[in-house]
Amino acid sequence: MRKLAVISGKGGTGKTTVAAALIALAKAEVFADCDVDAPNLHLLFDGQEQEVIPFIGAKVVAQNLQQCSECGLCQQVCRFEAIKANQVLAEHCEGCGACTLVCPTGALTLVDKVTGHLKLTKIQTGTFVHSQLLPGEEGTGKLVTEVKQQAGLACGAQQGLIIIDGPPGTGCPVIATLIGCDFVLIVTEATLSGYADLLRVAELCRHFNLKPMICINKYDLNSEVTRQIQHFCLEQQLVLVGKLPFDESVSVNINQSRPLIYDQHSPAATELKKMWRKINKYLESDLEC
Amino acid sequence: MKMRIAILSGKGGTGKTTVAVNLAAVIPFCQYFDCDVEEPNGHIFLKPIMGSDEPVLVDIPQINPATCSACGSCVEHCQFNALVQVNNTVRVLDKLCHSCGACAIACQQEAITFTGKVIGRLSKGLSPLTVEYYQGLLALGEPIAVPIIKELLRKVKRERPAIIDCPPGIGCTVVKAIEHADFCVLVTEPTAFGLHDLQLAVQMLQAKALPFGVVINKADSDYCQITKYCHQQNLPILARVYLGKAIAQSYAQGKLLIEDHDFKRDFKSLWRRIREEATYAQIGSN
Repeated sequence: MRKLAVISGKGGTGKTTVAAALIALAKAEVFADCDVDAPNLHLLFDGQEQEVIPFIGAKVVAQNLQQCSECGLCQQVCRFEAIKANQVLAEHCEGCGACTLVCPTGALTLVDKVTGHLKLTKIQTGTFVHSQLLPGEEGTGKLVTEVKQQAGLACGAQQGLIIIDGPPGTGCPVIATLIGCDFVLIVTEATLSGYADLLRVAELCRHFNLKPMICINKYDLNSEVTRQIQHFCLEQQLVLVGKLPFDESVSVNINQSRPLIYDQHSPAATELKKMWRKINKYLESDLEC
Repeated sequence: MKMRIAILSGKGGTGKTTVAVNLAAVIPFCQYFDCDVEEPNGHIFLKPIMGSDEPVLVDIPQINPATCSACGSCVEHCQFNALVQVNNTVRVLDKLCHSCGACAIACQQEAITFTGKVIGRLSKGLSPLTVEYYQGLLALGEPIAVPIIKELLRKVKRERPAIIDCPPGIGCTVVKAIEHADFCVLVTEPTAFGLHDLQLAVQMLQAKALPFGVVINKADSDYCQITKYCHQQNLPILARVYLGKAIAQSYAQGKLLIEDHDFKRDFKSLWRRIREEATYAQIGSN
């Protein structure tokens, strides 16, 4: 069982659209959405929700005001400005428990906090693992790790490829996504912002000894930037697996909750199918190594 | 008007930075803060001449092997699994550390002190459009961005308008970036993904009782669900920005929309509208 993560650096380059296409083309039996903040993959894959598991992403301090002696020691040790005038401000609390260690009366205790939900959905071809972090809550990296673990369990001892729709950025949600992955596909776009972010996220992959494949979305927006990205791939010996054209039918398909590859008239869909063949070859050549 | 405006979206790629940089460019004496410290892009459009640069440090525990008795108390009390006991020593997994100090409090031997570790940098510059530009940058491989955003926002001067360009999503980095905002602008796009993530962002802002309005970017679409949702929820639509492929190409080259006279007028109207909505919200809460 191997894992392919689709990431981007910059948000909005088309990760979910591309991941959905690959999932449909690969007829993936297990796939996952690790963009736990703002998940979108479930909008394209409908199914029967099998299990909803509450996720405890953080702890928070509970305060028993009656037991509080107002000594102020808790406020002195709190590094997150979560205690003011002997009151715990739950929205700032990071659940570290430092205050509970100094409280002389036991007025402060750490309690579990549900900060999201894991969801396992049965769809036609297999199992889809996704989640939703409650807006503004903690525990993104942990939830990503849980999603991947559940995907691994769903795969069991089977051979196969788990395809993961990843989050944007380079911080803990992306790092949690990349850890333990065998392959990475970076979906970038032919804009200066997309290119700048590609450089950082490609470097992050190198940090984790991963050699990403690259896909340039909306390549015809700027031929100069496309050239720069192609040059970067050559220089870094990274495989450019596809160049997708700016295609207005992408939004139309998303709005109809349909993976793009089912649209026979979409130029981007045609290129995605070519791209999948190239990715497949790359994955198979890796198996032979 | 002295105001702190946070620009966020939920969904990535809807145009937060596009709205943020073009707004900053039309507001006199504006400060712009790029809080997308994992992938900052504001500099591509505002083209600041960079000046000062400083590291951002977080406290990481140092365990003195001479005084450590390997009792395991620090390991037991670390809520972030950042300390592991290996035989008679304790190892620090610095990338998991949240710099809370609980380990030092738990230690019975006073064996723990703290040293600063650099996790990123803050830089300041001046844009040719006289926008005071501030940026945070998370070092690659470092997972925790929040301390950089926190340090970056200490630089906000309350006596001048400030535009806070937020990261994507609705997680802890965004929560930090919108702290102390006077008003929030939610940038969305007319797609099913845009609507889904807008609803999450709205939930978050309503839970925090922060006043906000919506900007519909890439509005050249007949997908009307965003407008319907805004009307149902009584959310002010501050502006619709019409782009199309030609403008997308201009964005791809790092150009500001306001180089075009019509867009300049539209962003000035948007700034006026934001001030009006923020004032109503303030009156409403008083």
